[in-house]
Amino acid sequence: MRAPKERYQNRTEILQGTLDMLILQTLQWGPRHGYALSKAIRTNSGEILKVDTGSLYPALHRLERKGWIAAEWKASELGPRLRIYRLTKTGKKQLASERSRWERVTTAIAGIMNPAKKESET
Amino acid sequence: MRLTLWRRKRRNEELIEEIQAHLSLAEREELESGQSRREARLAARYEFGNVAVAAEVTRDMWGWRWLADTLQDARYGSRMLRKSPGFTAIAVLTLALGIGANTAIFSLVNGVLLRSHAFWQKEFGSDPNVIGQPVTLERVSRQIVGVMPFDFKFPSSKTQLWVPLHLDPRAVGAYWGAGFMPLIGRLRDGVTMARAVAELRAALPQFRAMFPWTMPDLLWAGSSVISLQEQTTGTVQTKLFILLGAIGLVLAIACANVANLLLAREATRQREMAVRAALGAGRWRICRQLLTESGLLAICGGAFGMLFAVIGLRWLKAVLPADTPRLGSVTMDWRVLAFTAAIALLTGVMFGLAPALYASKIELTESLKTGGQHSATTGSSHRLRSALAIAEIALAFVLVIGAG
Repeated sequence: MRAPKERYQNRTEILQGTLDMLILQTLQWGPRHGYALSKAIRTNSGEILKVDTGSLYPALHRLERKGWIAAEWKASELGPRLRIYRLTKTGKKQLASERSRWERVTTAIAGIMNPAKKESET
Repeated sequence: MRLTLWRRKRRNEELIEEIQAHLSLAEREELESGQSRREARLAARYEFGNVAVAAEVTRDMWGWRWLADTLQDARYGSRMLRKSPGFTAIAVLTLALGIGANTAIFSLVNGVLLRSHAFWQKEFGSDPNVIGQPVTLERVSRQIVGVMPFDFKFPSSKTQLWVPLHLDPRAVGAYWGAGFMPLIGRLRDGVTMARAVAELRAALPQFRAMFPWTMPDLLWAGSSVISLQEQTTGTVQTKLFILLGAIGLVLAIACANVANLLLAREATRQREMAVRAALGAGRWRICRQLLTESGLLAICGGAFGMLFAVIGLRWLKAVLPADTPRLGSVTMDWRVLAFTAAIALLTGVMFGLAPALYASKIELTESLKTGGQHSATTGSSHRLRSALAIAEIALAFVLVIGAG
């Protein structure tokens, strides 16, 4: 089990910061189960970000443990009962702080990638 | 803890349920987009990756994983130990003897020394109601002036009463050979033992002059001063400490023996370890498994050791001189239990670590190819076992020389 597990963990490592934020952001629009979450992230990113479920569920359970999201079992008309996740109050705060961090990082990266544009602005 | 485990089990079932729901939703979607059922299921599976791995990495997020792992190790370990009862019996017996001897001696030392010291520091506690009351001894009425603490044994533990010494100068001959009449005194604050000895020796001629006839100058020439504590426990104390050290060495030898046994056994388990490594167990994981097994051995050894200690202590109490100070107050208490538990744990790590470290260093392809049974006689195994043998012989030498 070690080899595939490490593969997943590496992937989570790369994505972790952003995946947490993406999950929190997606849940802001309303409670969802895991599958709907992964689908929403995929669709909203124009099919570019495909969330590996081996990353999604660890992330969900980790966020739940931190108290940023809460989960509840709900029966569905489709058949199996589903575990629905929703954003908590502290989760909302966490989302805001991650968003501002994200914006700082992207601005910084943009500054490096487009130095000419920045100079013309000043 | 049981609750935690039960909860964990339920949670695990729920996680599988969650993952399966995810799968079936994905499958349904693929079906609706016009794929065949088989294709849809394959696609969903593909999408999800390895269900077991996803569940496992998710479980990692719950915490308490170490506990579940340890219990799993313990279950597996006890199964392995039951599988080779001969080895287990010998290892447990060896450890039990070592631990038991240590525990018995420790409780003795604990009872005779440590506790005596604690009591020694207590004030001369006496019951005020008894003091002043008359008591008749050998037709002489006397008054109780004080009560000694229960562990005051002077000059021996059989002494229960002390009366003032009244010497009749006309009957000196009656005291001839009565012998035991030491001087007892309290050191004034700031006076050293050396000065007390000097003063005592300076005063000896005066005492010699008190005899009605001339006594030789050599009488009492070697008189000295010893503290009450030394008087009551002194020689026993030294002996017990030496005994404790010797018994500690015996335990170390027992550990080396069991480590050797473990090494020999783990050599035959090389293939098992290789298979585990091939399935993805890391070195630390295998090491932990083996350490859990040696820990189980140590715990069994500790339990039987307690039993041996109880028997051994009873025997020691019967064999030791009856006037050994505070022998009566020697018992097994929580301190002794803690000592045994600590010793058992320590021995578990001591004899388990080297074999575990060695066995977890696996050369995968080699072990799997050669089939394991005979592949273990590698250089490092030989070296480790030689080192153990050398250490054992060295310890035995120390013990023999020390005993002589």
